[in-house]
Amino acid sequence: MDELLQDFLSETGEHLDAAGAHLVRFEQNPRDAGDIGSIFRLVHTIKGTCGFIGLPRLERLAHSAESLVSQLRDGVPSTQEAVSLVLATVDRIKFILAELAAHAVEPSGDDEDLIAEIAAATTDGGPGEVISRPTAPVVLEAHATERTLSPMPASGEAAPNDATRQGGFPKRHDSIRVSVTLLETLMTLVSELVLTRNQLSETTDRSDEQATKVALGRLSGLLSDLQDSVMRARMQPLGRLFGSLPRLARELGRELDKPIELAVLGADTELDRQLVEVIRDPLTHLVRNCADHGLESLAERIAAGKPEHGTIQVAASHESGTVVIRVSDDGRGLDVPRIRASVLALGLASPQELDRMNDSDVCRFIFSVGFSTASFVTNVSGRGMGMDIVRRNIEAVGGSIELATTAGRGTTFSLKIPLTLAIAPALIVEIGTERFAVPQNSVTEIVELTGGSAARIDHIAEALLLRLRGDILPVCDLRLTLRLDEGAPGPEVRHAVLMQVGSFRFGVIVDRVIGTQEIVVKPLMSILGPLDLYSGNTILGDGSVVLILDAAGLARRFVPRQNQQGSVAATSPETEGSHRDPVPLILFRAGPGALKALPLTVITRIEMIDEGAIERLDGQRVTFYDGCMMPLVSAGEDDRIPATGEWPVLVVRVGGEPMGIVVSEIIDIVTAPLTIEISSRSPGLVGSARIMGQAVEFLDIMFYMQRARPEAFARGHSRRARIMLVEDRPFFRDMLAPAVIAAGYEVVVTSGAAEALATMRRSKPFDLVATDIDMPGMSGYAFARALKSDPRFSEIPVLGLAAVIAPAVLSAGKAAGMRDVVAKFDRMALVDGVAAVLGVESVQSFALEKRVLSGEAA
Amino acid sequence: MTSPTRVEATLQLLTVMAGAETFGLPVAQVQTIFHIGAITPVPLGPSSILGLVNLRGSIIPALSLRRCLGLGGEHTPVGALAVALELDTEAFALLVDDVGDVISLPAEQALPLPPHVSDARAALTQAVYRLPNGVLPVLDVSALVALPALVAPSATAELPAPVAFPSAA
Repeated sequence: MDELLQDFLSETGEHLDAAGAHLVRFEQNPRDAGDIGSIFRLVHTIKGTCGFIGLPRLERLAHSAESLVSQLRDGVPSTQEAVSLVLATVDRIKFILAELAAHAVEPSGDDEDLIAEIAAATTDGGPGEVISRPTAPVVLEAHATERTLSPMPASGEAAPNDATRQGGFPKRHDSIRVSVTLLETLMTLVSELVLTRNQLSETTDRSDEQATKVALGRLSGLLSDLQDSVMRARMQPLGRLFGSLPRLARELGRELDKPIELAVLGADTELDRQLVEVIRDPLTHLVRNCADHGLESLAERIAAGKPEHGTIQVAASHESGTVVIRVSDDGRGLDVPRIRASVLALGLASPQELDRMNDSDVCRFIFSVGFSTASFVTNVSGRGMGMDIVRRNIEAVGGSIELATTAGRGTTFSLKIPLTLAIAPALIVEIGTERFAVPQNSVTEIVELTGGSAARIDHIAEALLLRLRGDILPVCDLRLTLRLDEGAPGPEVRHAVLMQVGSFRFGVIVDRVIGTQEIVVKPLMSILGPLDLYSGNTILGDGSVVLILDAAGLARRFVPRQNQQGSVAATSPETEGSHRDPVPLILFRAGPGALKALPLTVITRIEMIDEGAIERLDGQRVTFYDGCMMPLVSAGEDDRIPATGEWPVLVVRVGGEPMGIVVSEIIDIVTAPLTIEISSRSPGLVGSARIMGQAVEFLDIMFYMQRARPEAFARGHSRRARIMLVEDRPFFRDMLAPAVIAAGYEVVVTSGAAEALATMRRSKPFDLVATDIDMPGMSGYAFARALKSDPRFSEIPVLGLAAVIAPAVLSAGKAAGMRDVVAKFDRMALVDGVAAVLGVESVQSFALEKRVLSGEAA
Repeated sequence: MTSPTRVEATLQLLTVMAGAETFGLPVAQVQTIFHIGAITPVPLGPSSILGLVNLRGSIIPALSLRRCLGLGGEHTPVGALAVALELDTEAFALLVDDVGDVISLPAEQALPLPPHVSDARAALTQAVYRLPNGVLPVLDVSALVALPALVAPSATAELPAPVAFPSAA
């Protein structure tokens, strides 16, 4: 039977038991407000819950009973008929419950007879003689039985009823209530058992006793089953928590004078009960917040052309080993200028810092301690906890909170909660002589760092980058981060453990990966203070204590200081927003003159290439690289490559084909806003800017691509698809356009939606529009909607470009009619996305390479 | 009538040694005395914490009394003698040079803390008791734990030698 139904039955059984005494007294004295109130709550609860788990018959009956009881409660004099009806209805409810318990479905038939009687009694204000004192014993025989049995025994069993007496004793309850303490004790015992098992298996690993090993194997199997079952016993459907929300929304609606509808999705998603309790308050607070601040007043909604009913949606789902709860409203979105003003007023950031922040960074300030804007204090959300407490509560259990907001369209808070806290599979790694545990749910991959493997580490100043299958990930060496054995050399082959927190991917380098083990997470002692690197500690099978590394804490080590505000999510490189977002830049020297810079995202790899490995072919310098010929250009003004020695080469890919830019010295990697202060007139330079107090020239990557791979730009295609690329930032235009051109498309670039529309109206038809999502003036979403609503353009597929592919962005994109949204930092994703939408194969880099080579040979 | 009062006012102290000094620890707060088997350092943790040890299935942090007192000359933790102390609900291990007897003292033998004991030391001292052959400072367990990210062993402060009091002054 459905667990939810089972819970409902046992709970309702208890309610009925509790109401038994009241029913008796009600029958004797139908005017006692306390008794009537109690019966009202009973039918009300039943009604609420059955609507929720889909029991229409019961719901209908409870609903009509509720109206009758509420009339009595509101002071309408009780009549004999009314009392009888109430009692008869309660009996009918018991009958249906018994059937439900026996067959898990509502019995066929209906209760129209009772409902009609109730309707008659409620509409005409209650006919018949007003009871002044208890009269004759009542109504149904079943009820008499019930009365004699009351008060109920405490066993949790409801009274027998019609069904049970007529048809023997069907199984009533498949579930019983167990005290939380007992469950916790069970869980602790299982945890200890796991530890003991781990200890035993360490011992037997060293012995040859086959019999012991076999027995231990069985023990392990049984233990993990036991662990699963106990864990499941602790799981509760979130419906438990969500059940009260519609009512909360209704009350809030009344209080705030806004019609509010609350929709619940995924109420059957299960979560450890400990965690259900932890998120109860934060969730309530978020709903309050949505109702109070998110949703507009009725007048505003009508003025904005929105449905009168504001909708708050609470949706839960399982996502890769965690539970994600999204609380969203269709209200006005966060008031970013006002938040900026408050941040300034509270001194949470300097005007300069604030200037550099994009909107989503600014929004995260609502999670900071003591933050409030004037409008944030009302009698609804003003009480209770602040958003900082919400964040802290969620992060305390290893969860995270993110928010996405669109002005005029609403706000979505996403809570990510681990399934359980108690036992987690973890990776045991070793650094120097110390071992650490890394929870497996944050680990995405483990990479062996052999010298010649596909994954390799590039050093740039002190920053480490891991290149893996075309990706570049920031990594840190835990030896250094944790200051362990800094002097002693590590093993020859080390490992990188790749992790993901929110949308941020990174890696840590460890000496050895020992294996995996189920660990029982124990919280750190408070004496250790605030150490965000560890989420707890545990005892391994051999009895040794290890610290559990916290992925979120590690992720924070990578983030520039001004981004550390707010949650873990703040660490993700979300750069939606203004063009002043800090971007990782590589600074280098090339030729005389100022330092040169390129966005790190453009570069796929940094190589040291010996002068001797450079050859001349048809007037072009090339080197053998990655199994093919790579053309080289020098970033120096005179395109000369120095004659001797080893030189750093920045490898850039043009539509999958590598080219190298030879520089004289890599200086540093910095994170700075990409703002061109002076545009350049000289070829090869985009312009210059001041970075960290130094004048720096930005290279025009397009210029070098053209020089190194002219064929990629001039390649003829019989049928070239025309693509409109809309992007307000020159940097991304310069980065994306060459990639798309190189992949064989005709590209027209515009810097805004208005310009794009104007161009499209007067130019040849386009096959695809790729647009940035976040642009000043008309956003990419609005632009997509404009295209979809124009019959001339409605058939053109639209591809969104976003800095970060968050689920919210994806769904907003789809809602606006976009085919897909791709990451704009990833040029290949754009090329692949274009190809996928246009249904053509992306040009294979290798095929192209061959073509180029054969062209050279010919 | 007087005798129960006297019993209540008796203090039981475990004597422990660090350097040349002897200290008292309230027996009520002592869980056990054990030798440290293995210790897990806490990188980037507070310097007062030597690491974490497994005491019969529970993980407790270990402090060194020598380090708390700023005495230098610490032993390697592995194999060292430690007193497991309880504070509120948390426990921790205090590494000491040696442990002595448990002694019972009437509470009224407490002396006022001499004014010329250094502030650092005074902060760790709950009380000073008169013994037949000298005085015994009793350590304040909560103050030991609360010591702020303590002093690396090298940063040793020179502490005054134990003060011998005129016995009935």
